[in-house]
Amino acid sequence: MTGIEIGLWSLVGILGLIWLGMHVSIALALVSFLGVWALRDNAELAARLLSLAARESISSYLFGVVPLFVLMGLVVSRADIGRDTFDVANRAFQRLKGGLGMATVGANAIFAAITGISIASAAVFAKVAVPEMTRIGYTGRFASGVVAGSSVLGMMIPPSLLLILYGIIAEQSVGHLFIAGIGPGLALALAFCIGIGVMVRYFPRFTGVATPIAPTSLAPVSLLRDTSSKLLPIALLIVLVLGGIYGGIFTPTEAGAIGALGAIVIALAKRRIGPRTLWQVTLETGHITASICFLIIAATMYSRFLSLSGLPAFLTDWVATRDVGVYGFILLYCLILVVLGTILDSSSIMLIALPLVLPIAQAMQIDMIWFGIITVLAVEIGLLTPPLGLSVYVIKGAIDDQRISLGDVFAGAAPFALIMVMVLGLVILFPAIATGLL
Amino acid sequence: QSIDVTLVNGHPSIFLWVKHLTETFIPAVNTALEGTDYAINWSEAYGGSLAAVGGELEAVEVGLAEVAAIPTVFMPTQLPLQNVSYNTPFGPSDPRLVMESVAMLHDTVPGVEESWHEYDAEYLGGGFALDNYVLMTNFPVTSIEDLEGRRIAAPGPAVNWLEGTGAVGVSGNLTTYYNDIQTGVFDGVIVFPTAAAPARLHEVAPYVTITDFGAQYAGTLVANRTWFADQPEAVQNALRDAAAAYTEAYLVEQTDRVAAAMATIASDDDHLHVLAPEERTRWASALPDIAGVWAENANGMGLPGSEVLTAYIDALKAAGADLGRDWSQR
Amino acid sequence: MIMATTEDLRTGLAVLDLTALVLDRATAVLSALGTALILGIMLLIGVDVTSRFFLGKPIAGVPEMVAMSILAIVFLQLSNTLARGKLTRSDAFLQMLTKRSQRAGDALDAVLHGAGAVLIWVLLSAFYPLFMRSYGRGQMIGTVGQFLAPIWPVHGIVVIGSALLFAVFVTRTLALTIHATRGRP
Ligand code: NA
Ligand code: NA
Repeated sequence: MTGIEIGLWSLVGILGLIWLGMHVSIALALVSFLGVWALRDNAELAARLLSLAARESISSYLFGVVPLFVLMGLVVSRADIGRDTFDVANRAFQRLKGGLGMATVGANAIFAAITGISIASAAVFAKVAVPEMTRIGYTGRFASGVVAGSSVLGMMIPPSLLLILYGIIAEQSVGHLFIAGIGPGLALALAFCIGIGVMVRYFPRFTGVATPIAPTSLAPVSLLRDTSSKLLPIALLIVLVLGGIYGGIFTPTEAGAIGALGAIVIALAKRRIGPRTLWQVTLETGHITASICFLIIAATMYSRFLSLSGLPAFLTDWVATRDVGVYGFILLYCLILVVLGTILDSSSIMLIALPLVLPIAQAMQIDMIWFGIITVLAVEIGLLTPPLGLSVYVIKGAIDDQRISLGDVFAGAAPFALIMVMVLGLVILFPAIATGLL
Repeated sequence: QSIDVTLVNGHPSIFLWVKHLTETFIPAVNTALEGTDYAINWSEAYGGSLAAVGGELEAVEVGLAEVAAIPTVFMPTQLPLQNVSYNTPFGPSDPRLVMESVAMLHDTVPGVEESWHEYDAEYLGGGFALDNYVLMTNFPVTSIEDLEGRRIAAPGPAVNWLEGTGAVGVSGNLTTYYNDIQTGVFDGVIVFPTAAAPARLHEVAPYVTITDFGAQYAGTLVANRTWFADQPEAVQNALRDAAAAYTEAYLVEQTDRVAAAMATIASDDDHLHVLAPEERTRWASALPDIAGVWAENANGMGLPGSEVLTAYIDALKAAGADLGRDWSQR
Repeated sequence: MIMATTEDLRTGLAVLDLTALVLDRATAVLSALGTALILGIMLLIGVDVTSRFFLGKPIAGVPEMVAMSILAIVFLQLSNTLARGKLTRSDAFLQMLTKRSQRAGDALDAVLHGAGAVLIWVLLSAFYPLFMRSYGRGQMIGTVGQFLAPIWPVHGIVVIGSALLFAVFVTRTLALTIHATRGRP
């Protein structure tokens, strides 16, 4: 068997094992182990590849703060800060069908200005928004799908780690890329809101039907007081984190720690949590972190096996050598990114694909900023697609609700992946969405 | 006879030292083996596809890869001797001189080449050096007084270069410099031009100060020693000769890239300042005895730290290099 | 019962149940250490940011410490995560099978856990030499003159954590095998 064939068979293996119910990280690691063994005819070598990947893949400052973003989300949720915020949002959007879903998208767009990675958004909002949406009658499938979909905003709206990575590989201005990310990010948020409205109206069996909360019997003055006291904590937190980042006090990476600390202080001050609850919440954070990071370790093993197999390079090379004109090239390129996105994590895809296609894109005189936005958007669709959809796994781990299965979250995320494809199409057809602000 | 060789480096192929693995090293080996009974079947693993940056040496040691370009700069605690230039700042600005001097250390100082054997690695010679580090800031700098209280990001070992200047040195990394300077977490960065230009750092830190921290030895080519010993002499020689060709091609293209990078990051004279020689000396003298502490630490590990320090500085002086400080004087 | 905890998998075999219980407690201890480490990292970054911004004195080595800690946090928590039935998996097919026949479901789950045990054993046996090397060589991370710390304690935690993870996989495999052969009580 050639490496390419082994690579393709590994896909079948992973899909099958996950479907049978094997722990996802075990399935990825096992298939990688067997795959490298088959490629190199050496089991010991394959085991060593696993051990090195385990040691290297998460040992960085960037992953070191993952538990802190998770902790921030859990505290916000446990201290009912999330619930308060959604009460207010629901009040404001109650005339709109699917208002709470749209509020989640909006909140994610704001949160995106704080974080540079999508899994942070997913971890925070899984705990905050899913319980609130299911509480008023939406299905768990739809609620988790909304969170999964809107988590990708974390990568499109600056700061964004993937745009920085693209900037360095393609030698483009990170500042320009950041500005170019705003338009598509907002377009994506808007498209998600429209999508939610359409789904709630025409597919109530998928989304569930929200019971409108009883019209407030509060007098206007006490309504105002109630609203502001419910909004104050989240507003304080946003000011703290956004102000800290854009005031030059700390980096978006460090924001995880400051945000978690801030949320804890606010929750303690509001007497919503005590030391015992804080410990329980941190323990839960640990479980979620272990689950997510072990998955990232396993995904790294798989990506190393895949690149040894030569499959990703083969696919990218295949596109690179077709003579299809600018639009044909971009469409094929996006198709490959989406396909790779089903099984690889975002930065691995960019590291594998970009060195091969950048020279071609440059030769075709494609606007490299626009190309970067297209790349990141296409790559991020992979966060939502099975078998390896990182955002989906993070959400499944964070909600910790037996009634919502992994399949439910993937199903809920599917319409949002589709909306991303449509927005990707729009950005390809109308480059001004990205480059208009430059 | 076909020999399978995996060649590894943790950086993606846009980096010059990776590019010349593909463009120079591999073709040179192949050419040398033409007409012999041997041919090499290469698999190239870059950009973290087999090992992360800093993980290459272990990949070679355990046999995942036969040959690697080891970025010694990211392994200061495992390979202290190879980091001599980072611990003797304000050295020569010419990468070739630094490259040749460190190669000379491997050839002449007992224990240097052997320092690779602990990792079952065979030193193939040559390697790559980074161009002259400079200071890029969002405020003008003409003397070290301008640095008082400023937060400057630098790669790990270069944080030491700010000790005693009044600046706050913070360990950082290239991928976040842009964002962190833009928001004001850092006021500047110590960086080499061929990395600063692609990362577009001049957009957020437009003032370039030529401090002449010096070019830096950054990495070399090694092979798995057990594997290497089993190879026929023709293959061994081909690998060593190709390492030399690789180094030469790297240095030649780097010279061009430095010129282009400098034009990009300092496009006009208003934003370019060459630190006056007496200011450079003053800065270098303000630093603690970085080299001495480093050499002692290496000695403590059973490595010839002091010998390497003395031999390195002597070689630079013999070549007539412009040194901001004589680090061999304790 | 798919995301079963240790209590859910009691077999009635005293030896196995006791082993599982002791293991469960051991994982809880490790997990508590990991939990403390998370809070520690949060405070460390908080102090570093404060000290850097207000006093101009960052704490040396924070990026290195955070980068090291995450590996420790994950392997301190992993065995407890599995014992609590919280390691991510897709259980739709297992649930369907279990509904039709509890014993068939348990049999399949035993095989899946057995595969986990094998894989973790492979990982453990390949990681142990890494630990021995970093310990034997006294491998450090950081920069001379700034911050230096040995890396072997973290690798030691990976070894201990995966050993415990392996043990949990094995006891669960055994418990599920017994359920599959005897049927659930
Ligand atoms: Na963002
Ligand atoms: Na995917």
